[in-house]
Amino acid sequence: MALIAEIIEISIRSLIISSTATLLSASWSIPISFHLSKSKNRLTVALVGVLNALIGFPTVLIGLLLYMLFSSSGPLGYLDILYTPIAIIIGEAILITPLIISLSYDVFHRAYSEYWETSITLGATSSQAFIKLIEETYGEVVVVFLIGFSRAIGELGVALMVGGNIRGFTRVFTTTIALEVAKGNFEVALFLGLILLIIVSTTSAVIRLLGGKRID
Amino acid sequence: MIELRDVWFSYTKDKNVLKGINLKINNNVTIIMGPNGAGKTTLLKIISCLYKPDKGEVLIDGLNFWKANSKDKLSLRRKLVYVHENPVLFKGTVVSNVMYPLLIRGYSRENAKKEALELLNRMGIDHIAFRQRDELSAGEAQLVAFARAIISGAKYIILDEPISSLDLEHRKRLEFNLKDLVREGRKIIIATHDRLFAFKLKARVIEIDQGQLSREFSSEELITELDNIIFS
Repeated sequence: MALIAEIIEISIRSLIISSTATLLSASWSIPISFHLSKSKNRLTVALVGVLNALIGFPTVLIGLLLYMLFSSSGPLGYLDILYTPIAIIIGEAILITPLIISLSYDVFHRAYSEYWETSITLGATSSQAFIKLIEETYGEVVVVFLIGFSRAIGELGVALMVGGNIRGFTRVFTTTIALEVAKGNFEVALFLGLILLIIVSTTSAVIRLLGGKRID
Repeated sequence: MIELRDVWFSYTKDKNVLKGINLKINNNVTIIMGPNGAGKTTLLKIISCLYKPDKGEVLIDGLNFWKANSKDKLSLRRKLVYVHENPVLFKGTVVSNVMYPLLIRGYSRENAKKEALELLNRMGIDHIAFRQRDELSAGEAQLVAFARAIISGAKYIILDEPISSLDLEHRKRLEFNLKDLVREGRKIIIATHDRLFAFKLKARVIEIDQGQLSREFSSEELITELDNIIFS
């Protein structure tokens, strides 16, 4: 029973951390990608190319950089957030930022010339046109969120290096699986892996469902 | 009056789409003609203030749009409405699309719906008022976009190839509505290849070729030219 309670606790913590990281990343990624989609200059195209390349940025490298930043001797050591869920949230949010910007840039870039221009020419203010753009691309933006969430919940490097895998505090799915494998508890690791797989598969199913409703 | 002074525009650095356009538009109906790729759509988007020229000025009723403050810009924008060749309709029904320009101008939903339905009725397309956008034919979508442009109250109505998807009946309806708008004192600017359409609207015709104004004539001259081509 204790094991089941711990698994439930880890599941809830993983979901909260990854959801928060996705929302945090979206809070800056969506406005950035919107502004990039409005621009037509070569610098923007180059920047989008760089962001596309950063999608594959190694998670352990982000973990290492954040560790150096948040460690007591690092420049942000005074914040005292190393080995806390906040550090994992920040790390995951940074990790999925290029992914969310790249995907939402594609959505906004296509929608800009359609919905933004149409709203503006019908007399909308910039904020009214932005609301219309979001209304029209809502389903696709949700898909982008879910893809970002899937990436965040499935990563190991950041959670391990800046979270520390502390029992009852920063332990999440991926770090627990790694730990249980190291201990030789393959049954527990497989069970956790199965739950993670169900979460990611459900997310993918929702993505496909919403993607199918996309109106071109 | 809309005035373009030495307007240049390019999408890429190495090719200018518009090359020093000087143009004054004050006629009831102005038709812009020219071969494909001549720069008609770009010119319309410059006139609509959707594209900023690389060089030159766009004056709307005497005010330079791109140098105006944000408040003036909004009031100038609301004098202009542009309807794309492949119109973009928003999610929802026809009536909700036609209501949009009124809602963003502060109308209540009730009043906006009433006015939208009245307009659709006047235009003879009220039977499609509650259809979703993906249930419309290309011609119907074009008429809905036109209705949405009319209801905005804009003084200058800018239409890009408005009859390209219309059958004969819808085309007659559009011509009738355009003549109505002219009677109301609104100015129509249209890009089209159709000479007969230009003639019926008694338009001033401007021809553009390779990004430059090549000539200008009346619709009567246009039809005489057409006669000569047919009977020669």
